[in-house]
Amino acid sequence: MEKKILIVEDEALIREMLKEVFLSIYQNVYTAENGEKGLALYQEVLPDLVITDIKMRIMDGLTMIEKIKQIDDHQNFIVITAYSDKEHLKRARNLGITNLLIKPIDLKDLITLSWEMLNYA
Amino acid sequence: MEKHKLKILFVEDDDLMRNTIANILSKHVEEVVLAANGLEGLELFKTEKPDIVITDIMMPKMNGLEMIRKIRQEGISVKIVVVSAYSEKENFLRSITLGVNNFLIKPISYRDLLKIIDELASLTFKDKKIDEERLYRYKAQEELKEAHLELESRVIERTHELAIANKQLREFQETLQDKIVKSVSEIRMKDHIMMLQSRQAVMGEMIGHIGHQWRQPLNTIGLLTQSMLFSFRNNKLNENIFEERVDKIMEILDTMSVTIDDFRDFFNPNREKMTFAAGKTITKTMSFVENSFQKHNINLTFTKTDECLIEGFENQYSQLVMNLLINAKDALVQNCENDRNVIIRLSSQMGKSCLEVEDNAGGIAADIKEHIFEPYFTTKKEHEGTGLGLYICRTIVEKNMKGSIELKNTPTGTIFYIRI
Repeated sequence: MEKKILIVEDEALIREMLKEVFLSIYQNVYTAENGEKGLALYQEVLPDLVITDIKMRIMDGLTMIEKIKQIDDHQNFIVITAYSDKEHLKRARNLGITNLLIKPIDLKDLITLSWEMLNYA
Repeated sequence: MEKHKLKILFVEDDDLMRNTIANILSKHVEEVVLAANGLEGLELFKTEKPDIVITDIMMPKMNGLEMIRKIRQEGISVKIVVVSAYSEKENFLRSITLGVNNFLIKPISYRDLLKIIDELASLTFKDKKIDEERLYRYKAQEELKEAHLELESRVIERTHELAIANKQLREFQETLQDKIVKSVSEIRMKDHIMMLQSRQAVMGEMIGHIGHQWRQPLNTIGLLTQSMLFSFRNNKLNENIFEERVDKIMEILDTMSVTIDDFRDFFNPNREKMTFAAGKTITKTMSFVENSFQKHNINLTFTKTDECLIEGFENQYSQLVMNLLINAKDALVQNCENDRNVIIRLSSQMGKSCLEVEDNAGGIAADIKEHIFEPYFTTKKEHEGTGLGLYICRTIVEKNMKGSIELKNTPTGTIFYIRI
């Protein structure tokens, strides 16, 4: 599938794994290790879907989403978070994020959700 | 001539004789009472109470001797004079045994009669005086006796009161002792309960920390496991990839095991007193709260100039550090928007370990400062604190480790000093 996916995740092992899994479905998968790099890459490749963790150093996922929304208000996001981060959940809701996945992530759910958002389902 | 102030009872059966003598007597004494026989005389004696009785012996109804005997039975010290004929010697002798004062022999000599009366008058006067004195003495004695009795009864009363008071005092002492024993055991029990409560609170906190620490590795293991299935379906799962992922999972599981071991050590209450390095214990305790501090953007730094060996219960020291860190964290979250810092310093000072825990959460108000180590005292919101953290800290430091704990405000926050 020719869609472009951007994965922003600070933990290298998870980032690489997600990349591998998504590469088996989508042709173009890009990865970044924090919000700042994710934002830069977003502007460069303009992906169809952004999958991001929230807690990251330098710039967190929600701050990055805020900035991306200033560029494209209709951008698709999937946010991955830990259930206990209630402050984050609240912030995400205020940003209009409806697609939240709670850790530990079920890959099937993640892939199904990405299909739905990219109108393949 | 002045009359004697006397009352005389004259008992004589002969009317002529009685009246004649009565006439003479009434000129010398104030009052004369007359009786015609012993029976009458006895009656009059009882009613008139004369000072002197002058009596014949031979009389009808009751003779003089019988009357005297009866009078003397009354026990009264009346003066008695017997008048009789010389021929009646036996009667005189008998009268002596009855205790008469004087005798007159018939025919009565006027001079002798008056002489006897004069004598008896002075005797009576003396007797009276003596009686008065006696009476006075008697009264005084009685009063004294009464006073003595009263005193005695008062002594008895007071002794009784004292005994009651003593008994009450003893009872009070006993109940006081009971109460003291009871309150001491109550306080111990309370301390124990509070220890447990605080332990539970810390335990809850720790479970939260375990949750934090495990969420990330659990997620990673989950993804690694699922990715193997994906790789297999895409025909990319060869032995190398499989081994690599299994190794990775085992590595993560090992780390998780260490975490659980550390937490279990922390909660093992049966640990014995031992020598431990405070520096190491602090580092380990910090690792428990690391994630939680990161989550709240708190910078936690630790500097030590010495490892500081301490003799005691390591898990209690760890709990102490834990409580202080949680306290600092909660204060920072509540009072400080950004640039949240907690600094731990460990050094050796004069053979003792000195632990400092400093935060920049704005400090503690002076009126609160003195209560901060009291049990159930908290500045945190409802349900957020047990109010036991610092109380337990003090108990651990002062009671269990014989050290000292104090706090000082800095321009930006608070420093706790613990010397053990």
